[in-house]
Amino acid sequence: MTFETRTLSVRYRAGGPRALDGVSMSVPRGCLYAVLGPNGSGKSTLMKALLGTVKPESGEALVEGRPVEDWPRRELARRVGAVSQSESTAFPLTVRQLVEMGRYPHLGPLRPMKAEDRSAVEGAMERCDVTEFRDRLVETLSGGEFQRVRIARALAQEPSALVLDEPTASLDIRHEMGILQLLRDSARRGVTVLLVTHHLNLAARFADRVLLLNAGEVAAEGGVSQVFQPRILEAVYGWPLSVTPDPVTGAPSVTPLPLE
Amino acid sequence: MRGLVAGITLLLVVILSVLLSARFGAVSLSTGQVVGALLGGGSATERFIVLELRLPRAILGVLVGGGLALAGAVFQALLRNPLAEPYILGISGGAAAGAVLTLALGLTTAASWFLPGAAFGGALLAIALVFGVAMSADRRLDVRVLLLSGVVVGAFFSACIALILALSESDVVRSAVLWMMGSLAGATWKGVGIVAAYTLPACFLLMGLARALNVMSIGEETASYLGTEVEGVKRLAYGVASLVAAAGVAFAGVIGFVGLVVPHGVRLVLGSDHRILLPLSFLCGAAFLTLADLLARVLLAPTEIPIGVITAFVGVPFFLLLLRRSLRA
Amino acid sequence: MGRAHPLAGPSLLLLLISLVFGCGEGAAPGVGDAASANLEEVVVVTDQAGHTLRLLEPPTRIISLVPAATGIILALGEGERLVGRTDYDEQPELESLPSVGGGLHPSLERLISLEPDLVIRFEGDQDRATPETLDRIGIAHLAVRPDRIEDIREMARILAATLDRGGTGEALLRRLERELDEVRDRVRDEPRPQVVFLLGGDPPWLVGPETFLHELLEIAGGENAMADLGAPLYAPVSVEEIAQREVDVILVLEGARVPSALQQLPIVRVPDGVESPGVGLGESAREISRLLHPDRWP
Repeated sequence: MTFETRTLSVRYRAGGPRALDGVSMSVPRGCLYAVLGPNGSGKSTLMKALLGTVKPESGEALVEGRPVEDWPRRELARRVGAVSQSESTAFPLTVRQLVEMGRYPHLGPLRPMKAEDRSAVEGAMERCDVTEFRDRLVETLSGGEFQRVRIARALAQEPSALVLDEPTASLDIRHEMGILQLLRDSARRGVTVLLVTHHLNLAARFADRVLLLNAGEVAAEGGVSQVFQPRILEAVYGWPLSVTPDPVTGAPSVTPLPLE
Repeated sequence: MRGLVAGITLLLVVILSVLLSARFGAVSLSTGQVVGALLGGGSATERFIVLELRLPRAILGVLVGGGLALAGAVFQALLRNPLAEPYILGISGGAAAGAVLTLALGLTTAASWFLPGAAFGGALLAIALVFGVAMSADRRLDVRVLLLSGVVVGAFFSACIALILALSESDVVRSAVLWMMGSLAGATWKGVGIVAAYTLPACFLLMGLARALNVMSIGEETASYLGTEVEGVKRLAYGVASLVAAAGVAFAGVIGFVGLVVPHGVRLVLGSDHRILLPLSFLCGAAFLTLADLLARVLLAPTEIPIGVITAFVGVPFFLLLLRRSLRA
Repeated sequence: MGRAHPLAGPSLLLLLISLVFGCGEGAAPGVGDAASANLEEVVVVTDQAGHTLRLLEPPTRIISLVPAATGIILALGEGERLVGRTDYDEQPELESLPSVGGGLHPSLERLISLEPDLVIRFEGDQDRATPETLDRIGIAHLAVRPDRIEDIREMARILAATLDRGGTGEALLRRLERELDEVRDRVRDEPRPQVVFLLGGDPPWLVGPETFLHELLEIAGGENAMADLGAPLYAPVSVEEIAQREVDVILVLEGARVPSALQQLPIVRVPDGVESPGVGLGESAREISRLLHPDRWP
């Protein structure tokens, strides 16, 4: 699956500021693509625009070369697994029931779950380490556990692309690394991964390509080493930074400097 | 599996409720007399009482009770609000206004279908107003706007009713109040047929939306990511559930409580998967209302207690019991 | 025989086969067919809803849902034809009869199980279920309206015709006329106090100009101070409206509450029973007159 935008602009309220302003970017197949930027830079808006939940003021958002609004929702959901920043359940649901919803795009309204569906669900829960919670009510989980359940749901869709908005925000080190490694493995197997995060060093370590947004505009796009330049990052984040190769991973590591 | 067992049990309870409603009433008939009448024998009077008075009432109770409970479950999912019930979008206010206006203008003698027709029309008007306001912004049904406009439209119709009653004669006021309290007393086979024509296809349609409602109850954004055409589902579900509620109110008046509490009760016992919740809410609501009507007819015979009183007095403690058990678990 | 000319009623004509119920046979109830129109119809009356009742047999199992009509039936001497009563019929001779509940919205099951061949019901829209159900099973019904004195007279004539007691009926009505005339004459030259006739409730319900209570009040030598208020029958009125008028006396039913704002005015309590329409109108008129003009009734 490929994602692309062409001079995409999004304005939430007429007369208000643009959340995205003329953003052009492209995510190749099988790439782990990180979208970075400070708060309010438009990262979540970009994700929503690519998934068709927000309508652009001008420009286009394309999925596999097709404008996203031309995609029937169910077909899109069969190919793209999305995890938004947060969600809440209004009524009691078990973990298993929540993850099973990942199969709905394949099942439609009426077809019952078959063995292949069940194994997709089981596999997804295992990979996200939530199998032990399967019969627990979702509202009894911690923030991090709930997040892993939602990622499992996206995996249960057996998608060709994953779009995730801050998926590791509440996770501890073990689970955060687990999820990122899972995402990198998926990318290596051809699943396109679009990752919105504000975790600079993690992005530097795992991403293949990076998009840096600032106040709705593209500040930089390209490979990790291209984008992770002190001048570029400082201009966007408004804080003195040093960028040095990490001694263990070799990836660029960003360190905020103390203000004199 | 639990769902299937519960479903079969509830279906049997519904059938039993209908049979009990045929067996008992303000007049004591023996089981033999009732069975005889059901099979076509017995005296003309016995046959009339069982087949023309009691049975249509029982079936109407099944349809209206089931429809209200199902519509309540659907509204709760769409509005993501456990306090939602079928009248939340002003339906009861509109229906009551239509009925009261018909009574005040003395039009009920013109044709026997005038009163339910006007009530139905009033309900549709309320729905149109509520959706009209909610959709005016950008063709989307925003939940918060829907709730708010439902409250406002309901209040508007209440004011209309108050005005009409203030200007009306005592007999009109009495009839209006009685109508609004809800009753299955006017049930005829023709009326039952009309309600069935609205309710049954609608219920099947809504049950087909079960998976969509599952994801909608998590949130519209997530539902969209899981393949739901959110706006289409909302329009269909709101529209059809409102029709079911409107048909119920038109023929049975405003019977509260069923649409709010029955889905909750079922949810507490069997969970929130709408593929189980919807059909079982229907069956549970059907049995509940039919039995409530039986009690309403029999407890203080020959006086009939308004059915809303029974649904409240019986439903509330039962629900509290369920709630406590679930909180302890 | 009573009123034989059918008015142009709406689409319903009541044809009945009461034989079926009288014999207890299991034949299907329904509307009579054209053939029965050729048989001798012993009862043809038009009720106060404009429907014409045609019976092939005199009614022998009657249930009256209208207490005023029940009283008239008893006064006509035909009480044995009654097979049921309402909760509001308190006459001792009716105590042993089974009750069908209220006069409006009676228990249809009880009503039908008593297998009446004639039901006397209230005219009007308050309770449509009763006439509709009676039509479905094919039981004849008469609609009556005890609103004004003329309505009550008409009701008496209709009932007398239905029960073939025309002579007794006329006698009752003549006696009523005499009683009312007597009351009128007694207070003819007296000054007429402005009266507000309260029926209780908050805001209080009042007697309007098209009711028999209003007419009794006038016969008894009073003026209804609220007659111009627009509602013909009984309606609630705000206390301020009452207080604004020149009121000499407040008549209030026994047991009903007088709003505190009006308690400064002279209040006279009317004994129970006066507010019931029916055969006792003459006595009611006398009662009210005694309360308004005590010196004319030593």
